[in-house]
Amino acid sequence: MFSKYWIRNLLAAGGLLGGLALPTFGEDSFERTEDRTRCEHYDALRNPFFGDLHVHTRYSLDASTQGTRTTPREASSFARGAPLGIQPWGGDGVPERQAQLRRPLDFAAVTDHAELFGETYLCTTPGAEGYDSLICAMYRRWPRLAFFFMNGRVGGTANPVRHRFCGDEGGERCRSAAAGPWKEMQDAAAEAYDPAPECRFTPFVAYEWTGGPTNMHRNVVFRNAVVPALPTSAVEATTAWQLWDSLESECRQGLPGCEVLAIPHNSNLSGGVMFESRNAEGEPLRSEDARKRIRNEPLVEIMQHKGASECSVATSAADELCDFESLDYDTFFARFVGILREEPVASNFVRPILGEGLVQQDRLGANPFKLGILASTDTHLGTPGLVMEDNYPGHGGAGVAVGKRLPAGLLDPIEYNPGGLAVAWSEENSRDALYAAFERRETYGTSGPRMRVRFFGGWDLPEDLCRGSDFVETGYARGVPMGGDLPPREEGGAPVFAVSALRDPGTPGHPGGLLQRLQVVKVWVEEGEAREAVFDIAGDPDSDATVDLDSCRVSGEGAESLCTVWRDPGFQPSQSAVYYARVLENPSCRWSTWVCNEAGSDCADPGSVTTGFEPCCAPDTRRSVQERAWTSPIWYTP
Amino acid sequence: MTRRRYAAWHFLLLGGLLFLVQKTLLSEGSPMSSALDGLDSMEQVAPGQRDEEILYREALRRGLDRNDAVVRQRLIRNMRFLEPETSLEDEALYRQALDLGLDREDVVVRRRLVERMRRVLVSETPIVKPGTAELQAYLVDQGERFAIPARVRLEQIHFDEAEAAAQALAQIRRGEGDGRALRGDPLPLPRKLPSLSARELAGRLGPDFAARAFALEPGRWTGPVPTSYGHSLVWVHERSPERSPELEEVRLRVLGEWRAEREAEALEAALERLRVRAGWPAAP
Repeated sequence: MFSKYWIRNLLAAGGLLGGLALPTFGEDSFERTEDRTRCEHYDALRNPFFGDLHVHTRYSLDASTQGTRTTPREASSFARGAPLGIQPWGGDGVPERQAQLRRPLDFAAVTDHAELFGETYLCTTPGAEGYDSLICAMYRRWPRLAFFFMNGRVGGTANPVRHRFCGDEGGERCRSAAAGPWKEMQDAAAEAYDPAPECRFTPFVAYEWTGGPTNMHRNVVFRNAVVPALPTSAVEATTAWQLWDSLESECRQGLPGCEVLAIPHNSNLSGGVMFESRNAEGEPLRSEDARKRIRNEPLVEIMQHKGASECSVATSAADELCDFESLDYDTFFARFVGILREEPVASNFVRPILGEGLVQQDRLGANPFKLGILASTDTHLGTPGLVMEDNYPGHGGAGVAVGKRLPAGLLDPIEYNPGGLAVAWSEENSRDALYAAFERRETYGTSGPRMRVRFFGGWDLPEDLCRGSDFVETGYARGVPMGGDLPPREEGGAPVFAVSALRDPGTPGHPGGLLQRLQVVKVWVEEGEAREAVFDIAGDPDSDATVDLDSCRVSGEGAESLCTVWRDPGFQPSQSAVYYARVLENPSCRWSTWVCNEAGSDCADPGSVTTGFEPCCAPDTRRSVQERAWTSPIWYTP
Repeated sequence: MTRRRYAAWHFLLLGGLLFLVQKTLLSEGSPMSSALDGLDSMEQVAPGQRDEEILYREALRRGLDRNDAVVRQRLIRNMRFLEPETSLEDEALYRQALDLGLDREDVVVRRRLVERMRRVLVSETPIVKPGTAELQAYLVDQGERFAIPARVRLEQIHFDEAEAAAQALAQIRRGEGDGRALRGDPLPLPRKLPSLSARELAGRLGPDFAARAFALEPGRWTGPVPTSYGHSLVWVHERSPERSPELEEVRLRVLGEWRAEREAEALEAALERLRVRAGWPAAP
């Protein structure tokens, strides 16, 4: 009687839990839409700025149900380096834990769930109409249960409806109430954005569109302070196509000065449908569909708290490095319901989707999946950039309701991770400059560390580029950076790629990890089908570098910097292709290993493994990680 | 059974359910379980709820319940629940509810009034929009929080080995070459860096380098200074010390923090006056 379809829908709640010309001196290569002076650190050759575009605060139901009290203003302060009190909260309102970044972020966006601004506000604002409704009372008393009820209604079905307490006429009452948190998010972003030319921090105005039935979620990020009066939620726009139409009509067309992009995330939990090659009518994509898609979504979040979405060993068997922070279920609901567990399908992952984009490009003349890369945290503590593996407090309240003590044991499910960072190559740290980097996809993602990665492609990049002092100048002048298209092919020859990586310089007392190797991942189309190959191009994949899992001490050879120039040996001019670089650090302890060691869990001595720490010794628990960076690709079109 | 009988059964059923919900969901510790007839039993109010009680009483004293749209809607809805067949207009129902004292029996009304009273108290304390002078004073007072860090503009030549860097520096010092022609080892970092803070410098060349760079003598080649990637010879072109920002550089942030502080103070002061009047001053 209960088909998988209905179970999925019932539990769909989980969707919530859950080509550059160098600028001449004196000119900006990006358009300034804000009245700001040029930053003092302005550099025409660009610098990587590190940020987090996926942050939840108290206005996200699935954060506040776990005791998160962080306001958008406090999240910005945290990103700038201030300490923040986090749950559990004592009876006197004093937090029992503190979190603080070892180094500030350059930019961040608070992305609370748009669907629940109104509802959450009503349920937690005494006196708001609806405060005393059964669902709100349930929310305050048994928030985890309410989560399933509320999200099951609002975010988890293909056709969400508002709760009755939102009133008639499309839930106008909840939409109006949403103006509270939405306004506060905008104000917080404005206050944290100093106009001083030091340009220390850039906050973006954003929200999360939480569409279902599986994870179809997008973070919607605005270029500047010109934003619609209310966010577009999955109640008004039930599909991604409707979201894009809404962004077009309510922002780009309807509001002069408004610019926006949407960033899909957790395709690993989308049940294979995040990147379907179907249009709004369910028909095969037409070229205008492909163009609409890519105008709205030039980027994808490749890694975050709930897993990496680059690739899967199930579908990229030859690449064992795909076994990195991967989840063994393909939808969020399957985490809770074993019978829903299925092998992850290829279309959940970015690498196969880049290939599908090439296939569609050959068919349509437009690539719907021309995706640049970045990563973020998806923190539900309101703690942007909290990515350290050591001293990781989890990204939620361990699922425990407001006011309760934290449970013994791991404070995050063992398969989750601290998430990653978004990196933008930009002349300066301002909204206009960073947003321009997002649009041209000159971005990369990391699993947390701040390595500095350059990736250029061209036809005649010099073989000795790494030995000169003009790597960057030549890269821009004779090639294209990450996110770009190779220029039309000249006679003969295969494309050349230059990759350089500097290790994370670290913080006092916490040096960055050494680099193990550089790779180029190539995806191409052969006889109408996408193929993939991974090339080790620098460093030593067989190095003796290792980590002692008891002490977490690292040892062995590694590089402070790696640089090489690589020519594709299998290039066929008639085949569409896409290339991206992957940078790997030496192995280091995973967050869970730090926590398990701290707790004295010795898997050889079962008596030492106390309640809540059992996952430390589960056979499939990864104890070390190879932190990494993924660059945006460079495309070749015949 | 007639429709009316069904309605009666539904009413009883719903009433029973609501009673159970009230007993189970909302008991023990829930703010919604606080005594509704507390107006005459002040001593029974738990210390943690006294402020709320004071605010509620003050709201009633001022008649806020008589002119509030949410209260009005709520009371009309309650009346229609009690008398589903009524033919009275909203206004008449509202007056009837007030006559019956329903505004003193309803948890939503109570919380609405408490929240509104808070806002009223804040708004009654004249927080005049601060002038530039006031914000400036606040900025000076809170200087550390808003300070703009020192910056340095320098040029660096990277060497993989410290020894090679030291030799190159010795060469320059002996007058054999002027340094500007010196190449060092390749590193994809700009040789000439823009004006940077210590944090920005640490992001490029590492925290150890950033910690030392500000102490280097400007106007000459110095080093080698260890970086995260090797060793650099450094020429400091320009240093600017930490400074207090001009107000215009941080006005919105200053204003936001200033306002949040003033509002909290205003509320506390007003509450204290009410506490004293109620005979419940805050514990010293």
